[in-house]
Amino acid sequence: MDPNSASANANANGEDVKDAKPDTTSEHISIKVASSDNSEIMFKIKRSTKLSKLMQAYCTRTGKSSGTVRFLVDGERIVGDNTPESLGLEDGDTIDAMTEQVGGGQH
Amino acid sequence: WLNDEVINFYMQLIMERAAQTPALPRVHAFNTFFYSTLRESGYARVRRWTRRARLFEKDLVIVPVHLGVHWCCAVIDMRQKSIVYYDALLGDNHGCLQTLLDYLREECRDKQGAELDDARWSVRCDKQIPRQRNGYDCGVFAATFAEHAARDAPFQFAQENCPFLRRRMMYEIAAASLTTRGH
Repeated sequence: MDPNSASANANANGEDVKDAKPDTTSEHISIKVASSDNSEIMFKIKRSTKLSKLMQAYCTRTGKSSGTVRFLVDGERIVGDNTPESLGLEDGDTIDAMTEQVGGGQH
Repeated sequence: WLNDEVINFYMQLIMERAAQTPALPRVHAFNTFFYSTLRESGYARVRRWTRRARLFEKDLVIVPVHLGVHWCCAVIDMRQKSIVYYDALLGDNHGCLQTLLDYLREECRDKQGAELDDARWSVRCDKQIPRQRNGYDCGVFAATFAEHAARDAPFQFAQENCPFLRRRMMYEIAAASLTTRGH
C-alpha cells in the first residue's frame, strides 16, 4: 500500500471527493503517525476527513489490529470521529500510535 | 490483569476528583504511555503533553509505570520535592526515578524557564508498602497506590482486599466517578 493510503481510502469512499481543483494543498495536510518504537508513516488527509480513515489505513499498513492501537495527540487519546480540523492539527503534525499495554505481575 | 485503558480511565477519575475537591491535593496523573514514551523516545516527544497541565502548580504528579507485563506507580510530590516508586512486588527501579528526575529538570527549563533545584530533591523506592502475593493483581495495586497517594492517605490495604478493590474499581469505572473515601 502506498503512503497516501489514507487519502486514497477517503477518496475511494466517495464522500470526501469534491470538485477536482488544481490546487488542493490547503485542504490536504500531511500527518505523521509515529509508533512507540519510533517508526513513522506519513499520510495525506483532508482537514475535514474523520481520522478513523487514517487509523484504519495505519492498522492495515502496519498489520496491527485496531483494538491494540491507541492514537494520541500531545498525550491525549483521540477518537475516530475527530478530524484534523476539530483537533487543530496542522500540516506536518504528529499523531502517536501506542501499543496496548497489559500487566498482571510477573517481572 | 489490567490493560492500559482501565488504568488510564482510573487516572482520569483520580484527576477529576482532585479538581472537584478543594480539600484534596492538586493532582496531575499522567497516562500509561507517558513513562514508556519518555523512556523510549526522550523528553522531546512528551514535551507538549503538559502544555495545559501546569505541572509545577500541582501538589502531586502520578506516573503509572508499565514494565513489560507489570504495573507500578511513581508519585512525584512537588511539596516535599520527592519522587517515590511503588512496586507491589517490591522491585527496585532506580532507572525510573532518574528518568523522572531528568524529566522534571527538562520540564522546569521548558515550562518555567528555570533550573530545577536538584539538590533539594530526593528519590526512593518505597518497600514498606502493601505487597502483591499473586501474579495478576499488580494493576489493582498500582491504581490503588495512586488513588491513596492522591489524597495523602496511608496505604492501609493488603492483598486480601484486592477482590474488593478490583470490584470497586469496576464499579467506579462504570459510574465514571470515584466513590467517597474518608477524606
